[in-house]
Amino acid sequence: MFKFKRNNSSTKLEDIHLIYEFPLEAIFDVPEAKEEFRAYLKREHNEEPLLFYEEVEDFKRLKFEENKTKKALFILKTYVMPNSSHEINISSQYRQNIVLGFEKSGQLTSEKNMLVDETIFDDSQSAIFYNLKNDTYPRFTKSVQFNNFLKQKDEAFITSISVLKNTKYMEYIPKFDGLVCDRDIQFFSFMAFNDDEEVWDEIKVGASGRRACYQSKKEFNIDENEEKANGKLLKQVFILPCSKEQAFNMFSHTQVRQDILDAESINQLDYIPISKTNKYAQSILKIVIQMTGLTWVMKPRQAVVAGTVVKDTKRNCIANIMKSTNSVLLPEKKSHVKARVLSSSFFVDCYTTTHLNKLKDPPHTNHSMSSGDLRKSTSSASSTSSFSRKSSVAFDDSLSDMSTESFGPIENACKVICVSYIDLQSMQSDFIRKKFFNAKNKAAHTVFMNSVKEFGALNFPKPKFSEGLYDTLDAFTSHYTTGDNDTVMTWDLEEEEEGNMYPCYPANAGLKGFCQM
Amino acid sequence: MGNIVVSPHDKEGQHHMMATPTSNNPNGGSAATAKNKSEITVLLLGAGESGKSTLFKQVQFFHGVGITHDQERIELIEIVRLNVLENAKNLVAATQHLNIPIEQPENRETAKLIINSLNTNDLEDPSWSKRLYSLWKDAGIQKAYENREKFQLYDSTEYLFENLDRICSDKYVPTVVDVIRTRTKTIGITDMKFDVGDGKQLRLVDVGGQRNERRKWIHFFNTVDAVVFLTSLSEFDLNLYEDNGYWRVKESLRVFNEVVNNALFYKVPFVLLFNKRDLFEKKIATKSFSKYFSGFNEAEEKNPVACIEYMTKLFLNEITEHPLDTVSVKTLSAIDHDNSKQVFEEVKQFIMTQQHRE
Repeated sequence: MFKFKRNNSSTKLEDIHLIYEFPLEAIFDVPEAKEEFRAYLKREHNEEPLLFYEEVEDFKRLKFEENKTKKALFILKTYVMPNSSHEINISSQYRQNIVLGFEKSGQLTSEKNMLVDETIFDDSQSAIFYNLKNDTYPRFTKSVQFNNFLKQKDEAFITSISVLKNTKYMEYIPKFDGLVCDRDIQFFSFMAFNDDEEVWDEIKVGASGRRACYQSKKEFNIDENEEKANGKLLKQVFILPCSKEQAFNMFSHTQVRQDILDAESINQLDYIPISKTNKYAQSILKIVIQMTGLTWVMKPRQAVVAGTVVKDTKRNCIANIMKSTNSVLLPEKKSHVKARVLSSSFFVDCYTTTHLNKLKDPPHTNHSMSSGDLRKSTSSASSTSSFSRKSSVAFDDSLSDMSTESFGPIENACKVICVSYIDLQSMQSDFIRKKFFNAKNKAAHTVFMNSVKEFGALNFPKPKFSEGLYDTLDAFTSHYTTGDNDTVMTWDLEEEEEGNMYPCYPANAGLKGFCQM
Repeated sequence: MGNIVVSPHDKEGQHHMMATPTSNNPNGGSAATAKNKSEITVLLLGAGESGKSTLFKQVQFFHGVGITHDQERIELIEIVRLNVLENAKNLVAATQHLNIPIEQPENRETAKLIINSLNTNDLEDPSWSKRLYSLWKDAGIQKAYENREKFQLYDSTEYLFENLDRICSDKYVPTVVDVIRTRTKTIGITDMKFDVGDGKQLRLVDVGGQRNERRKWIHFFNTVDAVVFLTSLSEFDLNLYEDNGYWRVKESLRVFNEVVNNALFYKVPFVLLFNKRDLFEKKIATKSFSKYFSGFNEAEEKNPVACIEYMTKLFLNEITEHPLDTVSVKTLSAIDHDNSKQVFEEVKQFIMTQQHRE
């Protein structure tokens, strides 16, 4: 389960290159690796690309206009002009564009003291970046120098500058002009059932062990066209005293879902059935999201999303995947900001005694790590371990969580895992972000627990109208499941490594890829 | 099969800015001291896009390095697809620039996506094969392609578009030919070593060719035992990547002049390779060669041998210092595996015999 964990002594240097890929991006987070690369560039007499890249980064960071202009001029004279001391290798078109940019801003300065355009070096910077990425860096990572460098490093360091080969989720960028596809489901399944501390940062595990939230270590840029579209994934886990079907029924009630998603309204706009070109039935929704707790900085958002519900028979879970789609456009509303929604909820049965541990706890006591086809169980062995929570763990919200610590005697329990994309633009501060996520998580947990009480009394009825949740699930079930229990249907990124990469994209590719007999 | 060591550069301290032929550097002796050395350093030089790295890749390939294993080629998927996208982008941009409309509405849609949002991951989807191919076959794009001397475009454009059905697939693994045909602009300097018999190792050094890159060449000049200078035959109608107002042939001649007449190379064997013969022969069939060379007899312009002879004279005229008997001239088609192998073998023989003569 600990995907990145490897026995330190067993990994030979030769194997490292078989296991790991080294993306250039990583060195900008790890100064030691960057300096090693710089030393290599020096020996190749090729320092200027990296220097230029860094200078442009500095330029973009500067705030004071005069410094900014000075920096821009310095870059122009040092790296851009023909025969400059550190001239970079760019096309004459790009060079001309920069020079023109300066001429334009020069004309404006005389009147208004206007700044050099922030984006003036962008094209050249990304060209240089790609050059380093595709030409020099691969050479570096295969060099003797790099191997010698790695020899002195431990596994933890190596993983900080590498990705496992074929972990394609790292490069995943959803397409927002279409419907939910296999890649989306694979990606979210991977993220939902991955509990690796190399992937997730723990924000908070509720003292009761019934709720937890994490944010992804990696930032995802979901829209290359929009500047600073960077965000992280937020993962929330809830243990509920009901079966996964009951929890899903509960979730299907519009009001519950609105409260969980913090939505003001969810309206179904359209329903797209399964067809030759569309593998999963999809419900097109308009969602308006309140920014509870952040209304003082953020306007409400609205989004058009495509959503579908599928059953993963290997993980034994029901999954709801939603993502923004540009296929339907809404009139712009001034009071609302157009948002990208990327969200998923997984419902899976678990032990009635399961509780969530902190990521750093030893794995053997950690029930949250097991995600396979768990049978409901009340075995005494797991019962003792589940209450072995250390008494020293105390949090500010422990009191309110305590009230839900014991479900009392219950028949079923399930785990609900929600993974969604959160734009970081308005929440740069990690501290505020964690506080916000924790509050959100706590509120959602309360909603779930209250709903269990409310709907439990009524034996968890299905709602009449679920904005397509049931329709898409029913369509899935009738199309892809037979009475035959041998058919396994799952969406797995790791399976791809066995030569079965990205099984069925596009949507019409049929079941072959993920349907393992 | 030689024993190949792909290495970073020599130990520190060998390369000095002010290198002279009489350098006392123990490892960095000039040609005069080279004959007893166990390592023969051969520099691949030439202006941008003359084919240095293509030849370098071919030589690696003859010696079983780098690109033979599936896994290593899988790592190049991204670069191949990036090449496809860059080609497509350049062509679309050119239609705008040259005011040539893209004819079919669905191709205009595709063009828009290419400029705005398409990324290499998208190309896993086989539907892109059809869309991109349809765009490529659009009369507007083809017209821009016919006018490709007016903008910057890779030589491999046609090859890549004709192979989209393989490239745009989730099963795609680049072939050796794909790897050879893929353009990556070299920056900095790179080398590899392999055994050539007699207990000797040949060290082949590849460099970037654009103007700014040439400043880095000097660092290797004092350790050189032979120079292989490449120039592209098919560049007679093209201008420079780094200076769009400057004729590539003029640049090549200028660089050749500087290198061949450099005092450091008086005594080293010098090979001049006229590369891209394949492209050149195709090109002169449709483009006028004599239009670019006032001294050339127009009647002969469809005859590749006469054209190459003329080019050879042009280049050899630049030689003022280097002894002509240590200069060898050959034509090459570096993308052709067999031709590269044969020419490189000849080059190696030439260099070795010259070394013996010393």
